[in-house]
Amino acid sequence: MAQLEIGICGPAGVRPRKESAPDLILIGLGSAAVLIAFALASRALKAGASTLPPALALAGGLALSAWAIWRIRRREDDAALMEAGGLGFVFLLTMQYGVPKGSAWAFLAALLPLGPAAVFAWSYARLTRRSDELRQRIVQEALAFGFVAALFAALLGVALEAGGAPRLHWAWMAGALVLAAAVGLLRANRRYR
Amino acid sequence: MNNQLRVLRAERDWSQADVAARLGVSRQTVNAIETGRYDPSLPLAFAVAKLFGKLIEEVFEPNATKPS
Repeated sequence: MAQLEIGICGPAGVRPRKESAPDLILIGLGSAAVLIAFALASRALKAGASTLPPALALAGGLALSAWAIWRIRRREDDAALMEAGGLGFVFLLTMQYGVPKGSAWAFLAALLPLGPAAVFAWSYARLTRRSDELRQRIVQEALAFGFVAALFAALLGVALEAGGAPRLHWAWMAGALVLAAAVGLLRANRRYR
Repeated sequence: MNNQLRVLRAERDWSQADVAARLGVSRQTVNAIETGRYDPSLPLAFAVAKLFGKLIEEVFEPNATKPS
């Protein structure tokens, strides 16, 4: 079993290895290529020009990111994968692409964050499965706390909405779940420190 | 559950990290067991006893017995 110390670095507390740093940079470059591709596509769609160059840039960016992810996965550095997936998800989710709604590019932009989200979820599950029994207990307690706290937050939101408060965006609920799980992780870590 | 882990470790002049490496767990796990904050699973308790060449009941003992 791997020697893993539990800290507060990331949801599972394990730091990425130094060897994965170049691959994380490659993923960053790939993401930049994706963003440039969307900016070019936005201009091309508005001007009625060909979208082949942005499509090629998009394919190149995605291929570069996928290659770097494959290299990290081969190294079994789940912490680096988790970090790349989490940051990629937040980055792609919050980006404004500017492509016209209803176009294929708009659907691509909407679906794109799911890729890094899947990488994050898969690597987090594998990291937890491979960790020792105390870490699994800590993660279990953190998720249980997160679930209950997020459920309470959802019920609170529904109650406030019934009282006339504006409807909350789903991202707030997802954020509440992540925040609650992080607080649960800190609590459990402190208990077993 | 009480345990003799700290005493046995001190007798061998092992650090918590040494014990953790030999058991294949994190140092935090060894520390949590030593301080009584975490009761190990049966397989890990057996592994601890085997590491120190003791019977499991020589390393771990219950705090208080409940009447049956």
